[in-house]
Amino acid sequence: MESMSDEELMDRFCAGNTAAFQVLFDKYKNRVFRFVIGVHGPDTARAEDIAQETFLRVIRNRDRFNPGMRFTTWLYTIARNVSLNEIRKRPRDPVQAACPPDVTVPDDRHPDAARALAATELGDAIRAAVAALPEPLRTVFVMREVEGLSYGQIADVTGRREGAVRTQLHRAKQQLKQTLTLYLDDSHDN
Amino acid sequence: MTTDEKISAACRTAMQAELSAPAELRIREAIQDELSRVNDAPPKPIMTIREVAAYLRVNADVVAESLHEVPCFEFGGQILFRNEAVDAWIARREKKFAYDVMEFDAHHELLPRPRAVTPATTNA
Repeated sequence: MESMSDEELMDRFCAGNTAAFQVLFDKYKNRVFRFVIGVHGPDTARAEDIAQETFLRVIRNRDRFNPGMRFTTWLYTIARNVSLNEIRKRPRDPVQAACPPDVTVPDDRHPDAARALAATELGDAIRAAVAALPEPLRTVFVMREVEGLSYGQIADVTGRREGAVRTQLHRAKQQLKQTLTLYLDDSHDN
Repeated sequence: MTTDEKISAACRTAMQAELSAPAELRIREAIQDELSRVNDAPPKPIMTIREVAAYLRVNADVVAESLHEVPCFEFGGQILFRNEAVDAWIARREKKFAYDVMEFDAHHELLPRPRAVTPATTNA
């Protein structure tokens, strides 16, 4: 069953074969989790709940799956919707919203120490910088650069035109560049 | 490597994440509960092609190819099936199948039985 396409597996599942759904879950559990962390934020416990709700909605809404659509497009659409619903429910924190992401600038006076510091903190800095992107840019960036989806698929998931998706990706990269340039110049140039 | 490429590569590395084993176990249990509810759910009075396919335990393509045969109707741009009509259609198929089996049996008796080939009757 592992050799079947996602759409064939979904077809089997809709016909009552629950093992087909287990194959899909095994294939996409970590991708959905990673995507949710990218869109919702690095709260692991909430991301696990959202990933769970995503797969439960796939089961409940299996009859609404359009066989002409790619399964991944549908799956990411559900994951995005659940993530955005959770964000809307989240109480706004005016202090956090007003502050830029917590990014430590490397110390130019001690290059080695600064490089080590940058290496250990780079991951946190990147996650904070991505989380600080406004929603449409964040989703588009994560789908394209982390998950490797095509522009067409991202357009389907977000309901925007491909041209708009490209523009948003460019804007996301520009914002990240402003935040992360010092880190990346220092830690990746060797 | 351009700054854009550096950002992309660094993000791909930084954003890697996997479900923890306890979280995966918890999600699997929730999925099992949901799947058992799906299996125990009574059939709906009006069904879509996929629901009929699940009801009949065949792929949706098989139902789509049999629309001339399975009683259905079109509404709101989709093909729908009344559960009662599908059950009645199944009952008609059962009768026909039973008749076909009887006919086959009767026909089968008229056919000459194939002669058993034994080593003694064959010439090498």
